[in-house]
Amino acid sequence: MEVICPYCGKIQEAPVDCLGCGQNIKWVDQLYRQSQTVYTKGYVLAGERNLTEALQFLKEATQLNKYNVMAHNLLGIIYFELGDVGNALKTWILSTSIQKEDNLASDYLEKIHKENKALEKYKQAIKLYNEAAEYLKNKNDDMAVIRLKKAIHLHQQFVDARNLLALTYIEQAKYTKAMEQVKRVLAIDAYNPNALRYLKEVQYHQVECKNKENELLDTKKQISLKSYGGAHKVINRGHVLGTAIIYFIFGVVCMLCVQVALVLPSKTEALQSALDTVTRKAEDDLGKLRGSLAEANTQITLLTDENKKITAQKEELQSMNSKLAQQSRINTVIELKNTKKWVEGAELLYRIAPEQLDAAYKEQYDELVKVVYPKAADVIYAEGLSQYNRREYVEAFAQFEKVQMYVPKTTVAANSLYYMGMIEEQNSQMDKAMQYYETVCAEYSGISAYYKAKERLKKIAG
Amino acid sequence: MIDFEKELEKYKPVLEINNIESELTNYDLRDIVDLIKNIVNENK
Repeated sequence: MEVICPYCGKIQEAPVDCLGCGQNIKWVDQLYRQSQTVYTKGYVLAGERNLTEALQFLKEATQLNKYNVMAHNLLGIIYFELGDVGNALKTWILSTSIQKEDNLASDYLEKIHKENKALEKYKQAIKLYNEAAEYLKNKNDDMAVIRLKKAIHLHQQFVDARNLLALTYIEQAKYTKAMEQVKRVLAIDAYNPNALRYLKEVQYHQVECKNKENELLDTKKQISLKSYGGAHKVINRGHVLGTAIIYFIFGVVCMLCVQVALVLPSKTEALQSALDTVTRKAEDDLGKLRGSLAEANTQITLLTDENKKITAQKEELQSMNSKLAQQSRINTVIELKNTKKWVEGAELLYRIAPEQLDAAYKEQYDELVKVVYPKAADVIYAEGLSQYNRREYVEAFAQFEKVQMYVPKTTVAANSLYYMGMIEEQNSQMDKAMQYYETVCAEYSGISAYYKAKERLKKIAG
Repeated sequence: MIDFEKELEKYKPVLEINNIESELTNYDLRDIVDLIKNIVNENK
C-alpha cells in the first residue's frame, strides 16, 4: 500500500522509515490499512442498503486516512442516496481536491451540474425542509406539512424529509399516512433507526386501534345476547337434550323404585326420602346459581353505567378545554389585530374551530375574519409577488396558496391563482398551469386576472 | 411512546447547496495521522 509521509509528503510503498526524511512511518501504514478495512465494512453495508450504518463506517475511514478517496466518494454517494445533496456535493468536492485526476467524484459533480433543473429542485427541497423544521419548532404543524410534502415532491429520495413528515403525522395521530412515509424510507435505507422506531410506534397504535375495535365488537355482541335471551334458550339444544336425559334417568329410577317397592315396600320410603333430599339440594343449588347470576348481571349493568358516565365526563372536560383554548386564541388574535400583525393574526385565526365557540366569541370571530383575513391576504399577496419577481417560485407559490385559504373568491385570490399558474408554467408543468388559468376563467370575469389567464390559455393552446 | 419534542431536536438543518462554499472554507480536513504527527511534534 502506498503511504504519504506526514513529515515530508513523499509517496512510497510501505517502508518502515521514510525514504525522504528517515522518520518512522510504519504507524501511518497501519492506520491506512485500518482505514481500508473500515471502508470495506461500509461498502458491504451500503450494498445491503444499510445506508445509515455504512455512513458511519465511511466517515471513520476518511478520519483514519483523509487520502482514502474511495471512502470519500462512496460517502458522497450515500449522502446523495439519502437526499442530503449538499453534503454529497461537499464530499465530492473535497475528494477532487485530494485527487485531481482519475477521480470518479469529478464525473459525479459534472453529471449533477449538467442537470440544472434537478439541481434547482434539490436546492428548493432542502430549503423547504429546513423551513419545515423551523415551523415545527414553532408548533406550526400545518405549514410544516405543506413544506415537507412539497420537498418530497421535488426530491423523492429525501429521507430526512420523509422521516420528519412521518414524525409529524404520528404526532397528529395520522398513522396510515405516517406508515406510508416510513415504508418509503425503509425502501431507501433498510435499517434507518428513526424509521424503524416510527414503524414500531405506528404498529403499536394500529394494534391498539384494532384491540379497541374488537372490544367494541365484543361489547356489542354481549348487549345483543342479553337483549335476545329468550331466543338463546330456545335454540340451546344441548340444554334441552340434557333435561331430556335427566328426565329419562329419573323415569328409569322411578320404574326401579316401583319394582323394588313391590318387592320391598319398606325400602321405597327411604328411597323416596333420599330422592326428596337430592331434589331439594339441586333446587337450592339452582337458586344460589340464579342469585349469583343476577348479582353478576347487576354488577355489569352498574359498571357499564359508570363507564358511560366517566366517558361522558371526559368528553365534556375535553370539549371545555378545547373551547377555552379557542377563546384564548380569539383574544390573542384581537391583540395581534390591534398591533396590526395581520399575517400572524390570520395564521392563528385559521387554526380556530368556530363551531366550538360560544355565541359571543363566535360574533368576535366573525368580525375578526372580516377584518384580519383581507388585510393579511393583501400583505401575503404583496410578499408573494415580490418573491415571484425575485424568481423565488417555491416561496411565492406558498404565499399565493395562503391567499386562497384566507380570501377565496376575491380579486386578490384570482390574481394569486393567475400567478400560481405562471409558476407552474416556469416549472414546465403546463397541465397544472392550465388548471389554474381555467379556474380563474370559470370563477371570475371582468377583472385583469381573468383577461390575463385567458391570454395565457390561448398561448399554451396555440 | 415517542416524545415529539425530543425527537424533533434530532432533526438538524440540512446543508444548503448555496452554503457549500463557506462550509468548505471552514472544513477541518485533518485526519488521525495529522493529529498524531502534531502530538509527536509537540512532545519533542
